[in-house]
Amino acid sequence: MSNDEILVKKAQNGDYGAFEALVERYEAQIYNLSHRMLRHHEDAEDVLQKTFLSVFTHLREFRGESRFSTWLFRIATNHALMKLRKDRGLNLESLDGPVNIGEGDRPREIVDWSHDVTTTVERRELRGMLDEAISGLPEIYRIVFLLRDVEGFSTEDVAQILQASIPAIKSRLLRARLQLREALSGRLKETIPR
Amino acid sequence: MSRISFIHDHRHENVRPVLEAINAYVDGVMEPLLCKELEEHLKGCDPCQIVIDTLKMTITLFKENVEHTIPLDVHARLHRMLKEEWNK
Repeated sequence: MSNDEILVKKAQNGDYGAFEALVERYEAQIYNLSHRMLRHHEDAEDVLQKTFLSVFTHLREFRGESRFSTWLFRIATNHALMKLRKDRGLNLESLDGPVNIGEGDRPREIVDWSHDVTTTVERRELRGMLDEAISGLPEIYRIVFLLRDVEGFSTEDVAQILQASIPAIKSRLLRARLQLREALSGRLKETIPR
Repeated sequence: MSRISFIHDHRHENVRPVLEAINAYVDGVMEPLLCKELEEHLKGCDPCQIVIDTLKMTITLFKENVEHTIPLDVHARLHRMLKEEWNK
């Protein structure tokens, strides 16, 4: 049994300490994911609270058919996407089906900044660039990138979390990575020593 | 067009399979035969090599620089709310 499974079992049997340990293990990840999706502190806190309230309410129904983390992130992304749909009119149907990768995705910035970036750019400045780049991604690409490449879920897990097909996830991940690479290249090409 | 020959055709029309191949290569999930073919191609193709290197670095930078912290007040409000729910 994994640590999560042990804690879930204990929490299901009424151990508040185990429940609290689960919350502490994941609260920062959920808060930051929500904040990167909603770009607003209060909205992120709202999603965080709704997520763990849902976990609390439905914990007894959790049977371990998926990993606890997959189940938790599914709840969190549902709350975040619902908020985006309700408050900002995000079209959730656009998560279905693969996107057509085509000419518009062809890399334009062909400059190699990969060897110098960590020595030529200050960490704070770099973080600013990363924030700006990811904020510029449409939400349906951003969530796929965050789950797959930042949180480290497998493509199959991301498909399960977002209730989308694997080809849909793969094509969105590809477009997200290409757009982020393009955005960073546009900024970082200026930093290459001449 | 075979799955392998498109790599040699990447400067032309069909950009999608090339990008998908590069993506699979970056993730380390490319079929060995295709992988070998791509690596041969990379020896003579700077643009493809640059796209792969900068794509890999893009992913690395996000992985390494994304913060996983929670403000203390947010943490406190969450735990207070959950404790109240638990005790109801």
